[in-house]
Amino acid sequence: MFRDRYKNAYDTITPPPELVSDTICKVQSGGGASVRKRFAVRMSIAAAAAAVCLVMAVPVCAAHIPAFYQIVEYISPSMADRLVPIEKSCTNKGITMQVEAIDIEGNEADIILSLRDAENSGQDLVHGAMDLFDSYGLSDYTNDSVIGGCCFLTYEEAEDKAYFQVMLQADSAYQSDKLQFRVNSVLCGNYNETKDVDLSGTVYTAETKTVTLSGSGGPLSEDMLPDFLKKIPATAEDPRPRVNVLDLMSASDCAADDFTVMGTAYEDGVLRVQVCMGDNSRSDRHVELFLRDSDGNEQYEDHSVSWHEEIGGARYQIYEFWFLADIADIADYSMYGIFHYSGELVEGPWQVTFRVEGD
Amino acid sequence: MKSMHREKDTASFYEEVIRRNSETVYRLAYALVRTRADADDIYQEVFLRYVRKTPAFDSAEHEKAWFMRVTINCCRNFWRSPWMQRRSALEGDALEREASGADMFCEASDEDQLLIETVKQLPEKYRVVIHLFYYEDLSVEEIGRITKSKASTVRTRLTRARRELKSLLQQEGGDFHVQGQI
Repeated sequence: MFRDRYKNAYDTITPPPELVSDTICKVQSGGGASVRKRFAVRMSIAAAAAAVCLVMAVPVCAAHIPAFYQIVEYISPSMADRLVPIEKSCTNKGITMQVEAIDIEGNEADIILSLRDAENSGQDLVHGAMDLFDSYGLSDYTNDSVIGGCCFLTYEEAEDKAYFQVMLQADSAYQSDKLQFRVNSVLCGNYNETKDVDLSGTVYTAETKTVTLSGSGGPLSEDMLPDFLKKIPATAEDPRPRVNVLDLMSASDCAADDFTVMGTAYEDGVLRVQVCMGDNSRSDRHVELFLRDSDGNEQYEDHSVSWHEEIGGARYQIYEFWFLADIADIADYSMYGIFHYSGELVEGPWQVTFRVEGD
Repeated sequence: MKSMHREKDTASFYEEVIRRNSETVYRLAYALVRTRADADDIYQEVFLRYVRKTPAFDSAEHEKAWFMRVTINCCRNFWRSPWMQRRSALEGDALEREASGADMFCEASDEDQLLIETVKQLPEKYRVVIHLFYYEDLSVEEIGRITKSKASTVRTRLTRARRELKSLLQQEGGDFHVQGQI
């Protein structure tokens, strides 16, 4: 029976006694710092640690230097100078969100915030890259942010904190005497995998279908694309942009919560690769594809389009990537993708009300 | 278990926790990262994370599930670490060679080694479900809770993993029959 064979094989795998005793020693002696010997070489953290050492060696410096300063200092010294510490937090669903600092000027604000597992939550939701799922905002009495962007800075292991920089803009100037920052949901445990995409099944002629676009982009602007890839002009009846895409595989045959490569086709100088992200309503799966020729030269997509298809009660997101390339034989080419998976969606909300002192 | 923590000396309490979960963590780490050196790193990282987070557990099952979950998280962090990505890009086949031969455990028979080496060729997401299902005897639902995936996803991955494993084992000349009721 396979189960028995598998167990027998893995029963032979046990941690070396010296590893166990070494780990026990490290844990019993405090063990706060990572012992990983060779991986997770994060320059920002190293720089932050070095900066902390320097600061600690100079007692005339302020007694309390928040860790976020070291991180921001490394990324942007000028921004670190402008930040006003806030350090107010909110705990919900086992996660503590803390607004570490803010730089506010007129109708624009830069916020440094952190997320960590709440004390004794018994969870391991915060342990690396995360995403705020485009669900954040800053408001005052009369004014709410209208556009924003978010950047994951780093996961600081010693503190068990994930740091973000959030950039926000409102219609009019913020009133700094009562501000409220909120995050509605977070995606935990994001990770990526680099995998090959099989081009051996590439077809040279394929049926197409017309879909309503939900997005498009890429280094090559639309006017540089061949005519058959250009958007179909809107009509009075249907003002939404449409485009012709490959009709190779039904979305209903795709995984709801994983990537599915739906097919590849090379026709009229364009390699088209269609990938279904599944239902992305509670996740943020996305992929970057790279075409590699026999000399090892790599080419990023020239343009991509995306649309949605309703499958049952779910809404699947599908992308088609276009590579303009003069390909004589597809066998001379290979493709790989960086597939970005998102982990668990945790819905808050988390909100913190604060004022900016000395503004 | 939390009250037990208070009563006992912290150092011996940690030692008990490590010894209790030692093999589970190491085997899972080895199944996912493929080399002993990397499994050693993951092993230490998991227990240091335990000390940093000091989670309170409701039961022995909760404790074991937490350690399996954190081991998977640490392995994912490992795969996306800049060092690993660089190593993967630069070494390619060399990494595969490191993962075989000299890396094997001397207690393993040739047949065991063949099976372990073949499982290593599966993608990470398949290795996780294979190990939790066949070694830890977890149900599809339990695996879903640990990997934060839907039961249907786990079921699909298990089916695909079995299919792929069967094909790989046939190529390697093994006579295993990868079957099982999900």
